[in-house]
Amino acid sequence: MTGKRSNSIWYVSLAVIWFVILWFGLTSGSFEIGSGDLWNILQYKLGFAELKLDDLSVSVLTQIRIPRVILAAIVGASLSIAGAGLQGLFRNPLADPGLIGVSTGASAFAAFAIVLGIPALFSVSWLNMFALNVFTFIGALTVMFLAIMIAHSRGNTLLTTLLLTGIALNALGASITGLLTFLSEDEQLRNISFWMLGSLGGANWTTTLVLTIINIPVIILLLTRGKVLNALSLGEENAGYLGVNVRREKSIIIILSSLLVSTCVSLTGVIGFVGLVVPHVIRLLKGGDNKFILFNSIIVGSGFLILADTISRTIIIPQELPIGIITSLAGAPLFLYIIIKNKQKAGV
Amino acid sequence: MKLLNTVLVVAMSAGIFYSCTTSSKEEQKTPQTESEEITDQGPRIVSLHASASEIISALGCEEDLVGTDITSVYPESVKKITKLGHISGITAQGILSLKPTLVVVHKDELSAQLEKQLQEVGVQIEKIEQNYTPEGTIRLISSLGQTLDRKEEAQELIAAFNQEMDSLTVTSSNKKVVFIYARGAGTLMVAGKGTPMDALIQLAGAENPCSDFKDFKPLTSESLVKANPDVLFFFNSGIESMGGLESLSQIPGYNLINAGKEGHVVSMEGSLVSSFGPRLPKAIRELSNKLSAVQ
Repeated sequence: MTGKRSNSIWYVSLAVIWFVILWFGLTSGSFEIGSGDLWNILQYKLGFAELKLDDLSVSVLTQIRIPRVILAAIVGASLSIAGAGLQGLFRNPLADPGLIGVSTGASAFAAFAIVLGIPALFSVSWLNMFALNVFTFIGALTVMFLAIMIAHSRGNTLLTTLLLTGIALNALGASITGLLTFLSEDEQLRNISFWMLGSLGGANWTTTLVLTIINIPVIILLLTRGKVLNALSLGEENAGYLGVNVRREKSIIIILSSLLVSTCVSLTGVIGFVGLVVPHVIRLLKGGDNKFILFNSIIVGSGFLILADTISRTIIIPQELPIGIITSLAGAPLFLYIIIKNKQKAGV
Repeated sequence: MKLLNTVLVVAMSAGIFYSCTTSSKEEQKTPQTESEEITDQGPRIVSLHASASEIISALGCEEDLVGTDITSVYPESVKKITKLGHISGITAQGILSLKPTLVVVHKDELSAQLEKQLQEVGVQIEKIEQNYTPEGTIRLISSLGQTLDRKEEAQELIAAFNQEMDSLTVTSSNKKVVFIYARGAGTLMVAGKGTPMDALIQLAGAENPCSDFKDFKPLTSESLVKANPDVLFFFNSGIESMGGLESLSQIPGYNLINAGKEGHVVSMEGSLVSSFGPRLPKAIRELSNKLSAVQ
C-alpha cells in the first residue's frame, strides 16, 4: 500500500487537486475576478504584462479574498492535524479536537463576553477590537488546562479520565451557553447563535497573520510527533520500552492540538467535522502510519477547507452559507462512502 | 454532527432552564394575582409584540398590561411589567400564569400549538399584522383601539401621528445605507427586504442596496464591497457590541467602501428603529437628520 510508487502517485494527484482548489478559491466570489484577471495580476506582479484591472478589483483580491483563502488553509490544516494528533494519541479514530471540550468552552466564553458586553469595557481601542477573540481564546485555554489538570494523576495524564472530563466539560460549556442564550436579549442572541455557526468571513491580514504566527510553528512541532505517535500506537507500555517519554509526550501532543483548535475557534468560531473526518479519510485510504497521516492532514485539511469556504461564500451570492453546514454536508457522505468501501475491501 | 449536538444541547438546556424559571415565576405570582383579581375586574392584557405594547400604552391601557415579551421596552414604564421572555420561547403556561383575558401577538409569531392551548382556556387572542409603512402603523393603532374599546383615543393618536407625518420634511438623498444587525466570528448579518430597517431607510429618503434577499442574512465581505454603501447603520447597542467605532475598521473591506473611507456611520436606539409604532415620525426624522449630517 505505501510503496514508493503508489506514494508518488498519491502526492502528485494531491498536489494537482490542491492547486486546482486554490485557483478555484482565488477566482470565485461575488466580486467578479475570474481566472483571466488572476492570471493578469500574476503576470503583472512578475513583470510580464500590463495591469488590465481596476484598483478596486485588485484591492478586493489582495485585501479580502487572498487573506480569506490563506486563513481557510491554515484553519483547515490546524484542525485536521490537531485531529490527527489526538486520534493517534487516543488510538481512537473517533477522537476529534472538540473531544476535550475546547470548542464548547470557547463558545461558552464567547457567549459570556457577548451577553456581558465585554468588548465595550476596554478603553483601549485595539483591545476592544479583539476583545471577543482574546476572551474566547482564554476560554479555550482555560478548558484545556482544566481538563488536563483533572486527568492528571501522579505525573501522568490518564487518557480515559481525560475523555470523561471532556464529556463533562462539553456538557457544562453547552449548558452555560444555553443559560446565557436564555438570559440574552434579542440582539445578543443573534450574535451568539451566529457566532457559534463558525465563519471565515472575518478574515483580514491581521487575523490571518496572527493565526500564521501562532499556528505554523505549532503545526511544525506537532508534525515532529509522528514517530512518537507510532510508538504510542503499540500501547503506552511498549512505547516506554522504545525509549519514548510517554508522560511528557502525551502532555505535549494534547497541548499542541488544543492550542491549534483554540486559536482557530477564537478567530473563526466552531467549524465542525474537519478535524474528525480529514485524518480519518487519510487513514482509511493510506493506512495507519502516523507520520504520513499528520503530514497529509495539513494538505488535505487545508484544501478541504479552502473548497468548503469558497462554496460557502459563492453558493448563495450575496449571502454566505455557514461553513459548518458545508463541511458536514460534504464530509459526511464521503466519510460513509469510504467506510463502506473499506468494509467491502476487508471482505466483511 | 458536533454543531447539531451543540445546538440540541443548548436548546434543551435553555428549555429546561426556561421551564424551571416559568414554574418558579408562577409560584411567586399566584397569590399576588389572586388578590389582584378581587379588586381588579378590568381586562388583563399580555402583549407579545413591542409595537403593540407601545400602542397599548399610548392608548392609556398600560395599567391593564400584566405581561410582555422581552422586546417590549418602550415606554420606560413597560420595562417593569413581568417579562415572559423571547416570543420563540414563550409557553402557554407562562402566559396563563398571568391570568390574561387578552393576548396580543403577531400573527406570524403565534405557533399553532400555542394558539390552540390559549383557545382551550378561552383567552381572547388578538392577532396583529404589521407591515412596515405609516399606513400599517395607522391600521395597527386603529385595530388595537377597536379591540381595547379605546376608539376615541385611537383616533386622537392617529390624528397626532398624521400631523407629525405631514410636518416631516425628508430630503431624498439616494444614499446607499446598509443596516448591520449582528456579527458572528466574522461575517456580518445585514437587513434585507421586509425588515423595519429597510423600510425606515427608504422612508428617510435613502436606499438599501441589500434588497435582493429577505430578512436578516449574513453578507460576504465581497458583496459588501460590491454594494458599496455610503453609510453604515447600526443599533446603538450594536456598535457597542462590536467594541466601539474604532473596531469597525476590523470589518473586512471596510476601507474599500464609501462609508468606511469617509467614516460615515450612524446609529440609533434599537426599539425606536424597529417598533414602527406611534414614534415612527420621530424615527424617520432622526435617521433623516443623521443621514444628512454625514455629507
